[in-house]
Amino acid sequence: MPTRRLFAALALLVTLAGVAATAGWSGPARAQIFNPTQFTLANGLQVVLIEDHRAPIVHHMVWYRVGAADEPPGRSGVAHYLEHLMFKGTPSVPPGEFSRIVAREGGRDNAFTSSDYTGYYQSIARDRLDLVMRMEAERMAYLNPRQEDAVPELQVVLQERMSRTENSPGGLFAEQFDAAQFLAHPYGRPIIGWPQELARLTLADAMEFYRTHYAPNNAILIVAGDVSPDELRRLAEKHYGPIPRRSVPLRQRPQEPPQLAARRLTMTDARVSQPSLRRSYLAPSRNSSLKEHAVPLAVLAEILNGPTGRLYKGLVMGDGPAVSAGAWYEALSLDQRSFGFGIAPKSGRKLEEVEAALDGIIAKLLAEGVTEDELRVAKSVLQAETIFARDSLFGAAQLFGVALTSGLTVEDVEAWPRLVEAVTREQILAAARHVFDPPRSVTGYLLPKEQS
Amino acid sequence: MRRMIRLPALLLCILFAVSLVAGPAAAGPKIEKIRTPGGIEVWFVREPAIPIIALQAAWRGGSASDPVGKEGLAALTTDLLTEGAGDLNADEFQDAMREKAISLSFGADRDYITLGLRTLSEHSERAFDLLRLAMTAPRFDEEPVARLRARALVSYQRGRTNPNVLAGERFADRAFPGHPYGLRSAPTPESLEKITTADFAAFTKQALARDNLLIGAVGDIEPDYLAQLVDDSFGRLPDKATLPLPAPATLQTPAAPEIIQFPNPQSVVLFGAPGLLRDDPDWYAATVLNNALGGGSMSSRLFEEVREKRGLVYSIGTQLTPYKAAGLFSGSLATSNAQVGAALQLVRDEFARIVRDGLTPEELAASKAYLTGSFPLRLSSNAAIAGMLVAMQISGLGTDYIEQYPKLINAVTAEDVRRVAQRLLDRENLLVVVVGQPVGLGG
Repeated sequence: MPTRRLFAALALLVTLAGVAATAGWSGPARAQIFNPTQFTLANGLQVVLIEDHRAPIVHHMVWYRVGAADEPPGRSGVAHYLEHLMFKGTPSVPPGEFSRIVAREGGRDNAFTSSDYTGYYQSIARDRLDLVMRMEAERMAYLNPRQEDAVPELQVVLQERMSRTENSPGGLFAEQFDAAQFLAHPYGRPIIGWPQELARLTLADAMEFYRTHYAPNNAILIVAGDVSPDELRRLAEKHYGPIPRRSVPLRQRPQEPPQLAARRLTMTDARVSQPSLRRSYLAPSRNSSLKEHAVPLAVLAEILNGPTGRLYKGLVMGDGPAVSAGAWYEALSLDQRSFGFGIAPKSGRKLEEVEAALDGIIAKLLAEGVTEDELRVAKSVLQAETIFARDSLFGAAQLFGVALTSGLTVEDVEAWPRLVEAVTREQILAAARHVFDPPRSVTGYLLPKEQS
Repeated sequence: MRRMIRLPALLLCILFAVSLVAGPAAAGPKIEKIRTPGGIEVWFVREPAIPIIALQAAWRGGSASDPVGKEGLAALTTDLLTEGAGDLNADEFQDAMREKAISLSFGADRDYITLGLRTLSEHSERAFDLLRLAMTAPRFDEEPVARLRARALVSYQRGRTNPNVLAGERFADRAFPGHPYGLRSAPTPESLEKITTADFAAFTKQALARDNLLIGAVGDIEPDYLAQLVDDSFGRLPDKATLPLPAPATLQTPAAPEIIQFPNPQSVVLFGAPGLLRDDPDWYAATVLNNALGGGSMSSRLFEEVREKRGLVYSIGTQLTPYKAAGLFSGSLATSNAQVGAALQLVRDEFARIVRDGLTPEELAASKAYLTGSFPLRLSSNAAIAGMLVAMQISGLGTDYIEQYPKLINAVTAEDVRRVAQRLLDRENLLVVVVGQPVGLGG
């Protein structure tokens, strides 16, 4: 992938991870962007509607406030395995039929699992909303997979792990790296599960997890598209309303101890042909302690990442030692997560040189902060991205889902442009000084075998 | 995900790759053909809901037009177009784009040079100004040329240990030996030594012209103003393209599977056979067949037999790829080394079963229902619609295609599917490429 485009993508990720909402920021003339409607059913199901009447289609999503970081110890991968089993049958929808019915009605469906959330969706003509809501509501409460379907599905998940991780040294290294970043917090576990734990998961494990966490009061219904609030309320009451509320555990995951020692790890693999560097630091999220740093960090990531951001200018252009360099920051996480860097050196240049150059960029940032001009351009790009975000209804629904499952409110999402506009150079410097503290760093080298 | 787990780093790709949404009204978007005063045709959809413009364009002549020995010239050249043009060096050009949140990028596929432009409506003048510079006055300065060469070299080296890249390269090579479709479309260390800066300028001049140009635009802009911007930018291109285009070719299917030994626990498997050109009368029958066999939804035969029933794979699928000079029918799967023989046998069995029995009436109806019902979901955003406008022109379709599509699909009969199944699937040999340590392939 051309590097510049990758940067543009990363920059956008920051925006959308930070994300995105009203355009009230630029003056009263501009309407809201997503202008969502929200309400809550008596059983606690939260409902968010993003109306868009450009086309007669709807995007229907149910998000559960549970993910891989909520799994019991020793059962890593169970949140994702359960996601697969959610397609394996309810009283009125036989195993494997869910997606078949959606397809036959001209829709698409899928599901996804992350550390903080699990989500299910269908995209379909608006007159099929009733149908998919009925099926989705049924599997919220009456999932009933058979052992004979659960067993091959675990094999499917093991093949998935192989494709993503065992077949990819970069995937294996990312897993080791995250484990090094998080000593106590389950963000250190792979979403798909550690291989020895994943291989031993059972249908009973998955159903235990299901009964513990899947309940209307632990879910968010998000619909984007061509439906009115009244219509949606009627359908939501009809299908989801009858499902009883259940008590669910508080989401209190083990928190990280203070990091007092820099961590380094090196992995070699015969399948690596070009080395790469990762560096990360624990960083507050918009929901964690020290959350005041989160929006300044999102703006900083934009300044570092942009197509002509500091990383590209400092590490790649001209005589720079790298062919690509990017930063990530996960502003939308339930707990504090990370601010990190990934860099690939030019052929023949050493990771030590790349790391020293990155340290130089960080040192300069900590000494001088960002410039007024960098801040101005980053803000204008981030604000523009909130307008571009309206073009993708799926994207809008996704943003609300991620935000609401990571502890934020609809209002927090909508405040984004205003929060970005208010960021100062001083706040960015303070956030950078808090995060980029050498003893709190994790540095990883992924090397070809012969360089070890 | 059921098909792909969401890892944080992947979030964005998925967000946009899968993005869905808001395209057409019931009858589909209202497509206008604009002819500019300068004589350039633009397919246009006015969409005032959001103050943005998305434009896509394609020029006939892509990486299959790379001179022999200079593989990757089209790819490298197109990446360099936004690395400095006119008075702006690379840094200044990228800053100018970023200053107005303009996204402008060129690329090369086998048959076409592609362009994507996205801007807020209020910055459209600047966006088209930068577009004009990139197309007509690219600089190819030493710094960006060296930088992109270094990147291409690393990318090549990474590919040597990437099973998907290795499989794709070998597949192309065996499918189209001696033909441009068989060559790498990205640079190699050898081609990087041969490609000169003069080649970039020459390629640009040969490839970016007005007689091989197709444009689609969607957004919040007056058609007259759009026409003026198009004339001020695309209107400056030479009249005629002079790239050589590849001769017609037929995908080859050697008797024995190609195995690249690679120390991975899971083998990557590609399989293929000759497919159809886009203007083939059987195109829509093939589309219905492919969807039922291994296409888009999670209810295809291969998904059911290989994944749902037996758990042999996470991903499996088939596709029709209509290059301009050859049709491809191809598929892919990944499975543990020990299961490769079994998985491939299931694929062959399904091919044989469809050739023998065709689709069931239920399968035929379900496939049509999915294709017609999900079509509007492909018109999900301004950029997606702009892409569709270009794709329709590439395929030689009319502006009423979106309305016509359900009729074209629904007209496919069981007999049509049987005929096209024989054309595509009734074969002694498939081209098979495996990267891994596969078991059960005989020989």
